[in-house]
Amino acid sequence: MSYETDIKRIEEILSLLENGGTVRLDEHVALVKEGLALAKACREYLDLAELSVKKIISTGEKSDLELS
Amino acid sequence: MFIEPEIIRLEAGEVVYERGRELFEENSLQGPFAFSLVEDSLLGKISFKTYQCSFELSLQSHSLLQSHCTCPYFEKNGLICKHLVCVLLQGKVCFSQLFPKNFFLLGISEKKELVQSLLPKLSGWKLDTQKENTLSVSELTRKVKTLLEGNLHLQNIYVEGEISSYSPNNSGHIYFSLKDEGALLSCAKFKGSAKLLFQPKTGDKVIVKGSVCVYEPRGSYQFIVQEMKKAGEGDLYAKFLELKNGLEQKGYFDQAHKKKIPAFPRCIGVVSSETGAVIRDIIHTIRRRFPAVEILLCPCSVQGEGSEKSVLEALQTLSQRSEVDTIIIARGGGSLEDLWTFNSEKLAKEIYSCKTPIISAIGHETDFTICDFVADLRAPTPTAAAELATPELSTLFSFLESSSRQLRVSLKRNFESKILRLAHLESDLVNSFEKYCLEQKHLLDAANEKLRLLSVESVLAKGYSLTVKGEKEGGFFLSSSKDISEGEKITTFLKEGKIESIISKKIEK
Repeated sequence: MSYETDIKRIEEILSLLENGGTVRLDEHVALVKEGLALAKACREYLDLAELSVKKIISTGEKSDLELS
Repeated sequence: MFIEPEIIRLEAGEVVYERGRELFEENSLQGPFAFSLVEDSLLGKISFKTYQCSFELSLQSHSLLQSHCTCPYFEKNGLICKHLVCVLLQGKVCFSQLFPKNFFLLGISEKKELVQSLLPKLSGWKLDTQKENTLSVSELTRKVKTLLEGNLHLQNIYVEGEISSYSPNNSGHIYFSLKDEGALLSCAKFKGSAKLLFQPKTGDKVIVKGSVCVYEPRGSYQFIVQEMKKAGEGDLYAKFLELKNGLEQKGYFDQAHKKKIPAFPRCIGVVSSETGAVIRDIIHTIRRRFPAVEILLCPCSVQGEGSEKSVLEALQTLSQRSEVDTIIIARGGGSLEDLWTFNSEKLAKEIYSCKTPIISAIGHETDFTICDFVADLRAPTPTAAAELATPELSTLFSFLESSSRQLRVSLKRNFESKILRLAHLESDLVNSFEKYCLEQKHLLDAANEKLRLLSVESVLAKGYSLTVKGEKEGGFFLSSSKDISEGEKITTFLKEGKIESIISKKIEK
């Protein structure tokens, strides 16, 4: 997943709903469901996220960085 | 009172007036005035060096009637000369000291009497030279200020010395002293002056450019610094400026070329030393703000021999990796020499052509390198670079929360508005049905009435008639002889017209 696209999509849904009394109720329900699901997923992802620090060694491979 | 300086200035012209005023201020007029009263005029005479000056003042109009000087300028032009300007200015001082303020309100005879009594004083009047030579503290200080600040040898000059007490001020101004073996010089560098290219500290040998300035409220003189550089760094600094100007002209620093730093990076590449505080600060900051990211460190040497090549290679390695969203180039503070690696033209070109957005954090906030100028964003410190590269997790959470809330609210509102609309429709329906029923009822009633009338009319047409007690139509229909008495009036309705009768006899059934 990419939270950047997810968050953009949430913003898009919000602006869609803000501008429209034109959105049909079933569409509205679907959009809200989608938005809430995205927000939940983002939050869970961020909750669980743990910083990964790697360094590139001379061969171009990555290795975990051990900080002194 | 008699002569206003503005009038003298107008009559003498700017140049002559200024010369005359200078003579007056230099106190060049020595001899005493000789005054006499002739009719309604006060005549004044005085020697000015080898020349004789005279003037006539009207007691009536309080104005200068005529003036004369024996100098060649006056003889030739007939215009007020510098001597007369000086004499008239002195005359004004003399009058303002001796004449009462209400003099011009007096009648002419009173004026003449007063002038007559003043003549000996007037003629003997001399400037109180002792008083004139005493200066106030402000006057002296102003003279010193004019003297020092007007001296070109003390303005825009270079001074070399050692910083002895350095205190940066919250306001952004810097106050310090420069010293050498023999003397101390107070210095101030104001916020608006040229940015420092290094972090000065006590003990640094520096060359400052600036001007001597007198601060009147304290009566002290200061050196106001416009530029400061480390002593002995002249060549390096010049090289830096040359490179900077060159790259600037080539458009390397153009804002239009700067790439946007991604708001939500997945991978941040770091070009820095793998040991030391810089990388630790960056990792710590990113972990705190936005741990949902990978940091990819490409270690390099950031100082000394081979460091330029090392930084270049690290940057190239990271820019080739497609997963890297943002690159941070960072190094801690140091001297201009220490930071010199980042004033490289090759590095500037590499940064300029790099497809990945780059944040540069080289040295302290007061240090500027070419790398900072070319990068897409300059951060004052490595920590700030990490902050600029990442969104704040808590901000993100509150965004997610508020947008979830907004989504729910929008759905609730939509439902509510739809229900409200439905209720309106319902009540509209009910109303319109009730209205319809009422209309139908009215129609029915009307039809009924019509039918009733029609049925009566058809009966009458056949020759039957309708009898009413009394004369009026409103009377009740008569259906039994019991309801009427002999002698009473009845009205009978026929198909056409009606007849009125009186009951002559009544027959019971």
